[in-house]
Amino acid sequence: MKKVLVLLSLVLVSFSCIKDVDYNQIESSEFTTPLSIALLQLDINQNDFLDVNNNEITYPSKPYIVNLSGLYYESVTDNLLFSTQFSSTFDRDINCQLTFFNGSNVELMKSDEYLIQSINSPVIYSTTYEGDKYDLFTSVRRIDVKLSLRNGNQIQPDDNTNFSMQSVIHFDMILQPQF
Amino acid sequence: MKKLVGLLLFFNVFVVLAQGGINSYNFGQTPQAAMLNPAYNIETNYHFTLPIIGSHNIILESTGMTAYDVIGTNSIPFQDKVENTVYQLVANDYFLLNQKMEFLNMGQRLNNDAYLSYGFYEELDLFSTLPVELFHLFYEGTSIPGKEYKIDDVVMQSNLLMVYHVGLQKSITKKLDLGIRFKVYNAAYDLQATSNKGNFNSNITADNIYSHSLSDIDITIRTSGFAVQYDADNDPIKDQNGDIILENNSGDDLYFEDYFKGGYIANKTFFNGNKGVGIDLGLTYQMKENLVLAASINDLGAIFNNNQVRTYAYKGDYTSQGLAFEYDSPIGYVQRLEDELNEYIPLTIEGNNYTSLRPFHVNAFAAYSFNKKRSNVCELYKSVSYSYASIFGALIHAQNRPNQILYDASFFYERNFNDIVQARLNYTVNKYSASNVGLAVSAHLWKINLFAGVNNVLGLTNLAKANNISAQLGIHVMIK
Repeated sequence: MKKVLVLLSLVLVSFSCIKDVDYNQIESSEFTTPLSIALLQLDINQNDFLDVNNNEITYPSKPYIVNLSGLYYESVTDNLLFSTQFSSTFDRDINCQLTFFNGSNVELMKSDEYLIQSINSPVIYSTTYEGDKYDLFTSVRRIDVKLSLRNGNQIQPDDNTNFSMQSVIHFDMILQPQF
Repeated sequence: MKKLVGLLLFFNVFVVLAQGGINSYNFGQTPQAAMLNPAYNIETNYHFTLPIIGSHNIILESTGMTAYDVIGTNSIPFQDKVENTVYQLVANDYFLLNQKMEFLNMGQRLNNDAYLSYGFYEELDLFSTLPVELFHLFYEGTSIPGKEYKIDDVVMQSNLLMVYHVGLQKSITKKLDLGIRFKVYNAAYDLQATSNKGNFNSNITADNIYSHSLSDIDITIRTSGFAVQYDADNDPIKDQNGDIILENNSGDDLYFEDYFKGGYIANKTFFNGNKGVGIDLGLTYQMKENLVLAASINDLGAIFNNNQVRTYAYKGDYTSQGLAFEYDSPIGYVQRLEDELNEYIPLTIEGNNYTSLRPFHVNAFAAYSFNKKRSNVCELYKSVSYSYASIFGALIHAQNRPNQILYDASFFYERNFNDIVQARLNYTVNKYSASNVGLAVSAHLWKINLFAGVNNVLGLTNLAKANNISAQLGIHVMIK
């Protein structure tokens, strides 16, 4: 009986035996998630280039705008890729330019003026933002898109034509547990 | 916080109480054994367990990983260890915490030779599957177009309750003992998220258009014992300090912090919780003088939640190819996204009553005794097993949990050293582990019974590398 009790005591004492672990590893941990997020989209047809009297307008009556307030970049790697894809079935080429503003509606930067040709195949324009450009991009709170038709045949009311645009933001999200 | 995480990882492998007491089933004439099998004859005329310190059980288990897998000291970077661990998990891997503390356990033999036992104990239960596919989503993000990340196997249930019980063990014939135990549950809180469906995927079309979809979302979470009050917009009602006000039967304002004040939670746990009923059934059959069969079912019951109840449900589908440009919208991007999600996958909050089933246990037991008879044969009762020096046996145990049954099989060798000490050595195998060797000892010293057991002796050499460890402790006064 004495042996059994001694054995049991040893077993219970050994409960405290935790070896080969290091909790401090958690403190320096960092986890990365690759994300490509469809951020914005625009789908319009020929009617959007006509006024109420079916007269052609060079631009939509107002710039298209998206309000990006509420987006946070604190957990993102210090570079990101902003790509915009266009496709068009218009029989006329379209110029497109994006303008980026901060929260005070101060213009931060403009994109190149993209030429979207009258072909039914998508075209992608991408820009990598890093360093100072990254800091600039992360302060963007509003994007305007302006479209203009290049010279060509007078357009007619038609729902079957389509111009579409999708902006995708590619980045790595970083999680650094704070203990 | 670091210590908390470390503690959780530590407990992750620290103590597993043998999923219902493999060590103590029909062993040692202890009241703990009788709680597992109400037909078990503890061969005494009176007993009581020392309140609070007398009997503690704790189960803490997580399948698919050990603490060493995550925080072990080796040359593998921490991030890689975590990632490797995540990808070794499989569906239905789970985390289980079950803790019990007895406040009162007493019993006495009646004139008709039946044994009446009664008491009450506190039980905290938490069961959660590990959201494996959501872990994968965290690592993979949107890098695998078309891959669906399901939430179907995400399950959680938890409650804190007081169990009031009264049981009766009776010898029906010389071979057959039956036992029954009635239970009344008083649940301080209850949480059930047991039937979730839906998936998330990101896709790229042939035209290179990105889309993100939440499909077939059907999530239901039920709670009782604490209930946030909401306005018509499903926003929590707050007081002038911005603190969320909870529903309170007395009409006074109630806050989350009130739950952490001893008096309130104690009152809810002991008396003013949601009520339920349950039953334990057991039988012991002395097939031969040296062959005993036993079986029992425990906690076959339910809690009827009708006080401070809430049901939160999300249902719907949502696909986004990005938010549409608008003309000078004053609404922010995140707010628009939330608005769209709320429109397509709305949250509904109701206060309907609901019933939560208890996770019941089923045990099947057999024991074969051999070696010469000891002198301490108890003529009054017929537990002749103890007149043998050695016993071989087996126990099969199953426990129902949402979407799965947890089961294990244990094989043991038991030795009666003398009138005082019995020891059991058992080997347990289950779906997740095949290396559990346990040891239990029961000692009767004067009128005191001491019981202690561990279920994975090998794991004790380094808890960090053990998948599960179990421990039990009991101190009882037994008067014959």
